[in-house]
Amino acid sequence: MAASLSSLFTIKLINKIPHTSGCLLQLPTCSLHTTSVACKYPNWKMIKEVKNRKAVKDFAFERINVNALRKNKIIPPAIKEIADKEIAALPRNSSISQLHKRCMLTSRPRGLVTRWRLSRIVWRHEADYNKLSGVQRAMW
Amino acid sequence: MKDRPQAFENDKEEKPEQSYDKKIIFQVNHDHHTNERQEASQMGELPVTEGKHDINTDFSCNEKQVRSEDELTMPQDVTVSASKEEQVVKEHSPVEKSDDRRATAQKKLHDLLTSLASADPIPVEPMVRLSRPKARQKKTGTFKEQKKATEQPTESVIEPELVLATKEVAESLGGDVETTESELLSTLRLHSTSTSCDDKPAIQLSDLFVGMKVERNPRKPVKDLPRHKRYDQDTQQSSPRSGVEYQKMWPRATGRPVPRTLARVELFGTEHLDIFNAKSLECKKEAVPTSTLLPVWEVAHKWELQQSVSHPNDNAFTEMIQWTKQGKLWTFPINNEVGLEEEKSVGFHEHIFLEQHLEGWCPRRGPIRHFMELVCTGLSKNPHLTVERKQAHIQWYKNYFAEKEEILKEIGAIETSQ
Repeated sequence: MAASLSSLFTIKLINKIPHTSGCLLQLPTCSLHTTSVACKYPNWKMIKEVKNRKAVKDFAFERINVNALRKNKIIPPAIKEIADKEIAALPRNSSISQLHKRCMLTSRPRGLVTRWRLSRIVWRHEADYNKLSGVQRAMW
Repeated sequence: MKDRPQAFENDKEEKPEQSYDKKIIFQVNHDHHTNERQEASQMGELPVTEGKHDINTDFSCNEKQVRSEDELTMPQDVTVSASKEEQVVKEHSPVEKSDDRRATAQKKLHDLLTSLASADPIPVEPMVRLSRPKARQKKTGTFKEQKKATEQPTESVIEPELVLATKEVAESLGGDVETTESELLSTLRLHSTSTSCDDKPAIQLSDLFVGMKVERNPRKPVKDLPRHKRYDQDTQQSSPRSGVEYQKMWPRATGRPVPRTLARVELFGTEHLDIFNAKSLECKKEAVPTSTLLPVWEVAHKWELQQSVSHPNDNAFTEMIQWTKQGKLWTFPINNEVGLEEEKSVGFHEHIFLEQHLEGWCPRRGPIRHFMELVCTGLSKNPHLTVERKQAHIQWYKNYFAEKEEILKEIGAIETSQ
């Protein structure tokens, strides 16, 4: 019951509470390990990745506008220089190129199958157990 | 066909007698043998038309009395006129003797037919004498019984003398005269062995029972009858019932349909309660106040309500239903524009013609105008953004260039003499 209830709060209140963990911060009045591990991210690196993605989403509008000013031959160069400075001033995490994909289940940074957001090992495992739609052992 | 003209003479004689034959008229088929036809014409029933009418091929019954009467009247006039002509032609026929024979035959046939028409209907009861149970007062309960009672045209006929006798007996006995009389008559009916050859029309029992009401014992329906009530056990065995007792409770599939007394339901008898109106439901939704003092508790309460109502799925169909409601499964037939219902109301002109937003602030010439036009064309080609987002992009540039106005003027991108 506690686990299922806590899942209600993780999604909505994740913005308000600091991202120390994927789930709701347990107050010091409660004991540790009161919730199951199912709602947590597999890795601290994964949590960082989630924060980066959030930052990218926040600054996407501004970044694209400024980049459009920079990457053209019409705007006078003085404006372009100003634009360069402006974009450098934005947080580094908000850049898309800073993102590094990871496996959703194991947080593996390499060997990913993009469409499923899984590492190759997990992908193979799920495919063998018929959890991936339309995926079949190759045979020809 | 040759003998037909002689038949016309007979037609005239038998016109008044045709009233007897109205019940039984046979319209002979044109394709049958001519002898039969001649006989029919001689009997005076078939209107001899000599092919002027197309005679009906069906063998009529009492239903077609009216039609036959009309047909009789019509061709009669024709035949009369024809007969007159042909009588003039042939006055003295050499077959006068055969006419007499035919006349006698006709008379015989007529007598037979009249006797048949006037005879009483034959009763359905057999002649065999069987042992019968005691007479009981039959109740007008089920519809079937009532129907049977109405459908029986033939009843056992009791002689009027017996009827009078029963009346006298009932009066002499005293007490309830009507009931005793009815009982006696019923017994007589059962034991009567009267045949069909009575000329006198007997008094029908149904006429006697017209004003009387039959006693009815309100019987319990079969379900309510106590089944094997146990008196040896003192304790109440209400909830823990065994499988056998459950089976007894279930309605068994018997051959006889249990007579049910269904209450009459009038759908529109009472006033409209007005509970389940769309308006009332909306008002209820609005009326519920959402207090923000205990948000966590409210969330938990809602969760509990959902859990109490929801159950694990029985089968894959319910699971699919759940998924469609959640939005995981597409609805069929597949709609490519799911989630884009709001976009339908927005016209394409708002997406494409974005130069209007440049009016007022953007210079008419120069690099900035060039740039902004490119921005507008790019946005117009983008189908994934909403109109508000596109307008927001243009607005951002407006604000940006407003901030950099001085620098632009120094450079010479904006013409100062505007």
